[in-house]
Amino acid sequence: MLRTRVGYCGGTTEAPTYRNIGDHAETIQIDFDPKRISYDRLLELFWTTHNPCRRPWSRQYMSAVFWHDDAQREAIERTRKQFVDDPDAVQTEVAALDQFWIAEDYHQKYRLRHDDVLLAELRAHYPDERAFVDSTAAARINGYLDGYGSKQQLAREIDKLGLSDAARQRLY
Amino acid sequence: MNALPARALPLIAALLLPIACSGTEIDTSPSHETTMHETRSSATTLPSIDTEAPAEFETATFALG
Repeated sequence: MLRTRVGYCGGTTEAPTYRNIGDHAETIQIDFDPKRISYDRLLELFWTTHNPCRRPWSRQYMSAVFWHDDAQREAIERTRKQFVDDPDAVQTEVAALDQFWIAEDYHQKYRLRHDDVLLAELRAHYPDERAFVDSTAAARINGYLDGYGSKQQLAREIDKLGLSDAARQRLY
Repeated sequence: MNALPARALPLIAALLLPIACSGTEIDTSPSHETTMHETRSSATTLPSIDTEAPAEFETATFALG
């Protein structure tokens, strides 16, 4: 995983916001290195970490996967049959990506934004909001803060995150 | 539409954080920093996980209601 950002897509409303999301869904967009992790693996995680047969409460909170090209479209269809017990009962929307509208700044790297020590160090590297959101270090620190990733993973890459000793302690 | 708690969006995104923490190591192919981080500060040493990020990548988009 290289970069993450949250936003809105799947609808027709122009310039959606959190307070005026229109007919869009809350989404996450991930830039990944296909040499490290495949799209099929991401789809496996996607299909197996939600109930694709549950009817959504609302369009805002629907489950969906948006394909970027024909190869992704084919992979979605293939993995749907592979990982869903009843593929014909799937409620998860599968659609071509039209436009991804990035969400407001305060939604991006949410966990990291609430740790003053780590946030200050990342901000020293990336005072610009766009660069901060696009930082791989920020994305991974955000994930670790929420309890994801193993201690072994963290140990392997903590030297690459650009943190002081005090900031490192926040992750252990 | 019902009023939604202010934390709803990041909580939805958090469901995909296991993905964000997968594929743990970044290779050392040429950086794309000149396009991605043009406005960064030059006063600090940037995290090497960022400077070593590969130029080629793919993008995936999900919603996990």
